[in-house]
Amino acid sequence: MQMLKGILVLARFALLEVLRKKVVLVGMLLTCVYLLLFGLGLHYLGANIGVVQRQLAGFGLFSMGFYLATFLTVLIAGFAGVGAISGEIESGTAYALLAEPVSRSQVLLGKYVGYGLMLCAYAAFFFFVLWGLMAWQFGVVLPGPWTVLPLFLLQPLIILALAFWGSTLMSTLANGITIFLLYGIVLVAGMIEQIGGFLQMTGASAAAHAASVMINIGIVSSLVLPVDALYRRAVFVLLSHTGNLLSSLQSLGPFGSVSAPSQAMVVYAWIYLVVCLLLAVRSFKRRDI
Amino acid sequence: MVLETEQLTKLYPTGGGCFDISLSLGAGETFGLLGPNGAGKSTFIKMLVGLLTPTSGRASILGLPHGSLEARRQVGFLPENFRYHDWMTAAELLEFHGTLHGLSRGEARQRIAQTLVMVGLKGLEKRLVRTFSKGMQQRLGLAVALLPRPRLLFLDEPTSALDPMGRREIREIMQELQDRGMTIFLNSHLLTEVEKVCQKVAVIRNGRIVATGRLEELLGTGRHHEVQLDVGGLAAELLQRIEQIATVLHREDDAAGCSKLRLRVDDRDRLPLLAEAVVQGGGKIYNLSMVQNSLEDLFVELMAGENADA
Repeated sequence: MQMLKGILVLARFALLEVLRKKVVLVGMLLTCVYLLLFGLGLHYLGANIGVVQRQLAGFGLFSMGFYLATFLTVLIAGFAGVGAISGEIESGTAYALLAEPVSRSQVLLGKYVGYGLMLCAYAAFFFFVLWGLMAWQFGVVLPGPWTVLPLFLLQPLIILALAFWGSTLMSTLANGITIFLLYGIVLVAGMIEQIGGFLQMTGASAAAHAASVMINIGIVSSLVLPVDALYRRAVFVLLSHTGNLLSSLQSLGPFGSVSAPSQAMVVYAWIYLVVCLLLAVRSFKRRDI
Repeated sequence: MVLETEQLTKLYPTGGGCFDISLSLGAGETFGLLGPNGAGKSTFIKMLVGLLTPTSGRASILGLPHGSLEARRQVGFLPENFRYHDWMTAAELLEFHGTLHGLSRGEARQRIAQTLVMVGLKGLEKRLVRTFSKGMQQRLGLAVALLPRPRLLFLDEPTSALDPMGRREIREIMQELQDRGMTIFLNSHLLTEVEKVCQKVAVIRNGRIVATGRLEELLGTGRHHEVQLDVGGLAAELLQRIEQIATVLHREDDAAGCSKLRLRVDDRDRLPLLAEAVVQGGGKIYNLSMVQNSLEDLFVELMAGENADA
């Protein structure tokens, strides 16, 4: 109970910090500008083109928009987390805070909960606006929003947990470089996996080995950081189950998902998040300030 | 004992730290840990408040293991090179720290008002911390440390970054806290500050305590006393008698026939003997006084071998 109370105090503090520093305000304003542009794009899309091309372009625009939404939420999670602990130490605010009768696990988990809540609210808003725009402008109700939403939220939460762990080990700059390079590598590996999946679909025997290697690259990278795998699964659920052949075609694009990661990968992602947080707590407890 | 350490040691992988520090501090005492920058003062205090894990040794605060949550509930801490979350107002910052100490909102508000008065920041509750001057931030830091009514207050270089006026203000607050019976552990490299507020002192050099005790003991016991004797009619026989009691360090005769002697005695009790010898020997005493050893003298003496040790 005492532990939970401490976590909640720190979570409130983290939320207040984010709000006071106007991070949310600026972020929301720019996100609204982005969503407005996206909505206008959908609205004016294919005014003079046929239904087939219009739907093809519409699903294409949605998958691109969804990809960018994922990228932005992950990016914000990275920025929020890279200095969560190291920033307090570097600025000197940690000395007074950590000498108070509050455990380091409470400080770390409290800040994680605060930032996590902010990120979840932001990501959920982003997701439902995109989803709603598709329904409004195209009359297409994409399936499984409640299935996809956890997958969408899990991605920034994983990056946040990883960044928290890194911030107990490294300086803010070193952690930031590590997190964003790692994410970049995983994104590229995820695209390589999609190309491998596409080659496998074509059934060309000459390319079978290459396809297999490319898919394995994606799988290994997903084990290192299961963020892109979650995106591929989310986009697969959204676009491939519409019963619309055109939307299925979109699965073949760079923002689509030819081979959807299994449910086991989702379970792995949850375990990954918890392990990152446990390692972060362990490392923070041992760190000399 | 409010604070007790036994061979407390912190070794950094890169070298330095502090070694085998054994100290004790009773209730209501003000203890000064004196040493040059980098001597290990902050390392010692950081171990006691749980920021650093000792390599070896033991420490307890009011009988509780140092660094434990229970021990930290009894402690107030003003860190060196402190910085507080400057996006908060003074009241929010204090309330946040009060909540971490388990104060209810009502209690916190009451204590915030009291501590802000104590540190001279009354009326500035709603101002953002970032708008405070360095001196005001230092006083706010002191308010944070005092908020939970700590039984032991750690102050790490509380005035080093302040101008003379700011130093005096903080020193006055420390003296007020002393008067109220607060137990204070002060880290400082400012000799005058320690001399003015501390009853017990330890001097640390290269991570090791090289002298410790009550201030008057350190400035007296175990060291020689210097005495100034201005005497008229100093004949050879009288000088011989004086030399039997004290060592003559320096002699200067003026035109009026007065000899100014700087003497060294092993014991204060030698002074009456000295006066008696001069009078009986026919000399006239114009001045007989102890030359007060200052903490600065002691510090310089103790630090003399620092370079050799380093």
